[in-house]
Amino acid sequence: MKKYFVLQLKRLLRLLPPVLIVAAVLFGCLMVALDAITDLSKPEGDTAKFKLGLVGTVDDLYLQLGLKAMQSLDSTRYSIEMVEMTEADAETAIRSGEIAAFVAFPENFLENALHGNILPLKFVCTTGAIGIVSLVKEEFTQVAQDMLLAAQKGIYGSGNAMLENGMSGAQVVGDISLEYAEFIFRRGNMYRTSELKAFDGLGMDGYMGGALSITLFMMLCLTFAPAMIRKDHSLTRMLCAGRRGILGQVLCDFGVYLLGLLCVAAVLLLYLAFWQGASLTPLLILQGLPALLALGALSFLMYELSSDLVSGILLQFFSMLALCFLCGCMYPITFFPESVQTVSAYLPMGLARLQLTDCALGVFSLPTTAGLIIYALVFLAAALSVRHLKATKIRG
Amino acid sequence: MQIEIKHIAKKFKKHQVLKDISLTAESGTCIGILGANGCGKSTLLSILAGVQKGDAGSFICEGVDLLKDAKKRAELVGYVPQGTPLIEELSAKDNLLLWYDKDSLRSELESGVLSLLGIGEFFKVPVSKMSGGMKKRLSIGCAMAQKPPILLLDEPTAALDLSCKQSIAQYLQHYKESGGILLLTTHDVLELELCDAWYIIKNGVLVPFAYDGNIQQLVESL
Repeated sequence: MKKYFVLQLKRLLRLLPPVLIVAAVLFGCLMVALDAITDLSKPEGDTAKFKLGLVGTVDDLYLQLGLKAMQSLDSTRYSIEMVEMTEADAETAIRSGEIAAFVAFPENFLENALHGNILPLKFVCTTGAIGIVSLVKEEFTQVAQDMLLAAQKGIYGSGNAMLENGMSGAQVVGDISLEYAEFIFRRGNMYRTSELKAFDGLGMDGYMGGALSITLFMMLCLTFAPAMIRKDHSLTRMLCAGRRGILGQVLCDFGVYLLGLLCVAAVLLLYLAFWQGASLTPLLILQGLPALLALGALSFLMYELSSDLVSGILLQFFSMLALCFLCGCMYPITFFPESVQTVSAYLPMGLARLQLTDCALGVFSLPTTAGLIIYALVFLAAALSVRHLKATKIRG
Repeated sequence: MQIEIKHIAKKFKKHQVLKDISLTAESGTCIGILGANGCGKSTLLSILAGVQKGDAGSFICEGVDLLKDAKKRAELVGYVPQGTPLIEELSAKDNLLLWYDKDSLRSELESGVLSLLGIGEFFKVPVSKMSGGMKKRLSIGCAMAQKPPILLLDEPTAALDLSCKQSIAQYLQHYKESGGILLLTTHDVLELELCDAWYIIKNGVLVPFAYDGNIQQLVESL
């Protein structure tokens, strides 16, 4: 069988260069997509924000407190960046596009507000930013209202309590009320956000990276179709007559196919190492082998079942697409009903996805690995049966 | 050398394809096996070649039942099935290397069976670029690697043009005259003329037929 293996390898090598080129392109696109997912899921930092200038706030302590609260609010802190500046600077900045708009607080705005005289704020923006500024105006108004309302009860309540206990009105306003107001303003510091690793212990980018890798890998199996699909089993028969049994032939064919798939997987690993900066230890690579075996064996079985190129590609394409979708390799599995999640964990793609997750987390799961190896053996046995059936099904 | 095929039987599910197939042949003879499509001609050859197991029967040569001794069978029996038993993407040379070692390949190409088949003309041509006749000659060349004294051929010249049929018939004639035993299934007149004895598979049984060139009579017998 050595000669047969070498010849099949020689045959596959002719097909490999275009396959690897397609793999490089597809996995490159995957890396770009992963980068985009990573950027979107970042809680702060590099995401572009709407820049708003603040004029007339420098000297007013309480206005500073209020604006600090505004910047700490969940609804604004990820989307709006507030920059203090003079009105002249603000006008220059708005013309140069450095800021999208600015809001000018009139003099003694807060003092007037405390006495019930609300002076209007001036919002200045470019024509293109009118829509955003309207939203910001609404936001400002809502925040001011919410804060005043929230502070009001506490202020009145604590004020009444203090007056009943002999404190002066000035003390109520100066010491307690403003302290209370500041406490409300510091509400944003009462909690911190962190990303919940909701996808099998990985973030969204890690999950989708592994999942989409499986989908793309299965699609790349299609590129081997011209080498794998047999219309004519006469060579199989002649080899059987020459004491090169079907088992040996199937193992050689699968071995050669697996080598091709390893080359494809190597392209992905290179991208992970150089683009994503992943550290690829030998153990990690070894751990990924059962997944490669199981998925390769499934694809091999599909090819054995096919008798011509078109039906073979269609069978492989639609069945792989359906399995990848059901097993959360195209969409997070948590979006599916519980029953689907349970079933998918036992399907080959689901197990492969879990195996890649384990690789990423640096854990080893014996049930997952064993499941994949069992699947590989079952698919190979089925492929052997199909080949035997086709070779011995002689009409005449 | 003599071969004895005795009481070969084969059943597929409920259909008894071969009931009781028996024949003998001596060295230097060619046996033609005919029959309607689906009567079991190819099945018989595949059983004799060891591709599939029969339900009963024996294939005796030199006192050994070749159906039970795979090693002896591989030495004595060459088999060319229907279709193209070649790797299409590779050249004639690569396909031959599956069956020959490099030294024997060289010597056969220079003055042996491969030279007789004219394979040197297209030695480095990929199979996908070969004509039907070239492919069939190459297939026979592959089957002859062990120089088997018994050759089983399943419709060897099917779908070939007359000149290709003639060249293959010439080689088979040479093989027969060298003392080989040929068993071939055929629907072809040229192949019929090559044969020394003819049998028709009818209802799973081998019926001898004396072919005298009368095609009409042959058709009626089928």
